[in-house]
Amino acid sequence: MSTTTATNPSAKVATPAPAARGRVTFLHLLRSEWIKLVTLRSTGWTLGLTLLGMVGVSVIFAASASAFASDTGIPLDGIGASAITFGYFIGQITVAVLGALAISGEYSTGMIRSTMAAAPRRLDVVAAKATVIGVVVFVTGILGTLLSYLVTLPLLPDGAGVSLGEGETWRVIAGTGAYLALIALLSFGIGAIVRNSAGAISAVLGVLLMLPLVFQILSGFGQDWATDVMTYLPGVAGERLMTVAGASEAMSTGMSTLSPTVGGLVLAGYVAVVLGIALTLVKKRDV
Amino acid sequence: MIEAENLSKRYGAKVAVNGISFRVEPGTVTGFLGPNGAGKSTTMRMIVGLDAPTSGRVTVNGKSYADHAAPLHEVGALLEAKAVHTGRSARNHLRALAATHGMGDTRVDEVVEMTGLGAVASKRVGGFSLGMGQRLGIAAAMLGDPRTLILDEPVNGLDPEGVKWVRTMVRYLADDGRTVFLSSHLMSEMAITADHLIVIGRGSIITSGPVQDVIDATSGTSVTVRSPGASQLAELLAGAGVSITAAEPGVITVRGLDAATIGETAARNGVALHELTPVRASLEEAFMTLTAGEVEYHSGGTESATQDGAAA
Repeated sequence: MSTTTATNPSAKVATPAPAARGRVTFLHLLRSEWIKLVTLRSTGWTLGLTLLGMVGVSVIFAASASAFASDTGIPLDGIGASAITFGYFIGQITVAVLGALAISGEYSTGMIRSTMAAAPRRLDVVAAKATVIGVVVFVTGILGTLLSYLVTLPLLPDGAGVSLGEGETWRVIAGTGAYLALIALLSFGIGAIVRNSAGAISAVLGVLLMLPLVFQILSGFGQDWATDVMTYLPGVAGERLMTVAGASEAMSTGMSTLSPTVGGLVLAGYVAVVLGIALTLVKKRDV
Repeated sequence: MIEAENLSKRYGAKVAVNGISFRVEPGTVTGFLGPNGAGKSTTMRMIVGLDAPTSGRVTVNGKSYADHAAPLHEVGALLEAKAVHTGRSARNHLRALAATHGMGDTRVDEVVEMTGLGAVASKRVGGFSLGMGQRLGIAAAMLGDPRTLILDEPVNGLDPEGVKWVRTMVRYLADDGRTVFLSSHLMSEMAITADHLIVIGRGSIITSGPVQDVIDATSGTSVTVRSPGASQLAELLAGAGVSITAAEPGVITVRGLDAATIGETAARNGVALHELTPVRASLEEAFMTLTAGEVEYHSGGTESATQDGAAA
């Protein structure tokens, strides 16, 4: 019993002075979920790749646009906003992975039982987790957009870049953060429903990448109703958060005509429904 | 204090726990004994609110677990070997749990020290041995310094050193006045650690009470008698409520009479005794008797559960 691991409990313990007896509060749950998030390697990886992907895509976008402008002489006024936000396309994939893992990782490892035993009010736990994920991804999205702004500044032709002095620019920057946060929460909600990482990630990527493609094919062959449906798909509607009037319109994959506010609300509506189902199931199911 | 009233849990058509009522009294080590699949883990999960009872209720210190504002200070639970994210270090796992109750790193360091995890606390849990995992589980259960601990199969799969450590820990916690409710399918474990027993089989409580009472009530004690006049003595002792078996020539086993009565009977009749030994049934034997027919899975695969099955 004298090896390093064989501590004799009675020798050491001496019941510690009952530590300040705290209670479970929402603030404590936020702190707990924050600790959980930052102590997993996958968080660093997914957020790091999000930033890298966003900036990388922006650089490619800006460099190509700039080359195109100087080759053809066509002015690209207004392209700047697209240049800094287009990285969302990569970012949405990595934040979807982050969102799904935040909850499905707990189910697959059994951690959820420790979590729910420590804080049996399950809805508060899920709400705290969602809040932390949402805020972290929102901030990461804004950070990625601002980094994209900085690196594309020297690449874009004069007059094409956005000005940080304009309210519209900040709306687009915040919109990118909001879009990514909503996608992460959508993925988080699906993760809570299916309790399986691979399943949740596949489902979200299917909705974001495959569904628009299907409807695009249909509308390409004259099915007008498909165009209408496509407008209201979560990803297509949500992308409106990042678009500005002008050049970016042409760059948008969808032909959505929703305003940024309405588009954002449509995506938020999907997220609310999915989280509602998730909360109901988490409350009802055995852990 | 843990109180269950008519607690039931059904999974579809399968009844895991069938209307059980019991009490775990403060300051005792109560063993929850039963074969695998008897409903022990399900009951323990219901106590801490992870599984919702199909009917009935269970309270901890007078309230449903979920109604406590600070559950970790009421009950600490070691439910499964690893209810831990494999990608997180032991210390960070404990920090996250402690944070839910506003406890800081000081308390985390204390339970790390208490459970001897210091050397591995910053390693990721995925690489932990079963024994380290159990220590971490006990550390988590101790975080809130609760008066009541629930330990589900704490020694299952541990090496001898780990088993010894858990036993010492349980004894220490009990001597410290804490209530410990621990389950096992190993009767020998219960004989060493528990004061009280609740025996469960196929979702129903078979018997409960102080460990020795459970054993005595189940098997009674028998007396081994070695005598050249064994057959004569057997005739003298025969009577209502007395069973006598002859194990080998000159040796009989008597149930239903105590050693003093047998010895006096022999003396009055001039029968020489070479040996007169009261034999207490072991908990193992008591358990076999109790759970025969209550075993969920048995080796033979036939409907009549055998003692071999109970031992599996």
